[in-house]
Amino acid sequence: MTVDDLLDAIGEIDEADMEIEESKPKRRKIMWTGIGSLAACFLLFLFLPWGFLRQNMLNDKEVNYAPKDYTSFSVYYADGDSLSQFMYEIHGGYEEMFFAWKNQNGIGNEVELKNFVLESTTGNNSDQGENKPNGGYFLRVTVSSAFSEYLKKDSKGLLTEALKKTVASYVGVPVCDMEWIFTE
Amino acid sequence: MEDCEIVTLFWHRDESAIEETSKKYGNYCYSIAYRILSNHEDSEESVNDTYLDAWHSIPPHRPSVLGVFLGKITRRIAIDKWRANHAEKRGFGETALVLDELQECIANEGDIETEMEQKLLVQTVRLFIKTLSETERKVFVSRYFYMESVENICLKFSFSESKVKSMLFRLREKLRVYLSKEGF
Repeated sequence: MTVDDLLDAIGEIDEADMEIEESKPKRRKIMWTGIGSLAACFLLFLFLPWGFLRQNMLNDKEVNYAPKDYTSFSVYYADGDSLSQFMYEIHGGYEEMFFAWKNQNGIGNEVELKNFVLESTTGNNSDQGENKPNGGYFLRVTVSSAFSEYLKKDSKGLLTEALKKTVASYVGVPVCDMEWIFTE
Repeated sequence: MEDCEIVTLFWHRDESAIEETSKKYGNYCYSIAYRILSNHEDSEESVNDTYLDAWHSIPPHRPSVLGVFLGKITRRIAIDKWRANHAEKRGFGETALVLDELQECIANEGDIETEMEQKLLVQTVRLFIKTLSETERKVFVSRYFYMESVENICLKFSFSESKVKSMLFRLREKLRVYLSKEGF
């Protein structure tokens, strides 16, 4: 037997054993329906002050966002013609968040994250003469050009939508729109 | 579209089967090919060859898990391409690393001379997989079927790098002993 024979043999393993790998492990869909009002109030209490703190942290117009303590968030992925979500826990910054999104959406290692910018969408409040955030953020992601091939195949724009929602979950602010920038 | 519906299109020789396959499994097959080949053009070619192979295989095959069926085809085609590209020298990349790791499982190096011997090897590897725990099986399939990097596996299973590496080492040792007992 040579190593090539072994590699080929591994390619013929039982499909039943591969079904386990094929299905996404530990899929936990967040089902908001059926949660009692008490549980909903508790969640609101838990997240309200945290969202306020994050909003204060993001007062800058443009930030290269590197949060410190966001360990649990939802990764959104294209699932047929719609999006599904999957709870993730990481101990790292936006690079790991992006990696998790990439992995969940079946995007290979040829796609590398080069830059990641969240920009507040400021509006001019004419009464008070000052710029205030409209409440949403614009995401600008620079990736290697290989990703353009994935976008070409994604006619429904699910990948883009999935990343916006994933970032929104990770950072805790609404992401209104985004732009992909490709580089070598 | 469900797998059974796509398979029915193949059986009816309806060419929309290819389009539906591409929509549902195009990214999946591309990811498998790219992990092996690290080249966009060769990966695209492998995916297109996969569709052609599937067209010629269904019928008479009627795969129960279409994704896995296609994944196996893509893997085989991509590995053949990799071998053709690296006939002179093994080179670098994930495929070369996987081959180096699997080399540890070979106790007695020698050519497999008959188709029967190769079938016996396939059967032995299948039985070996069934001796593993669910987690071990998932990790083994991720690394040695899907050629995922250790980094990807760490993220997928939320394991540390040292845990994944030591698990893979133990699995290779188990496989070596198992193959040796079966006369390989």
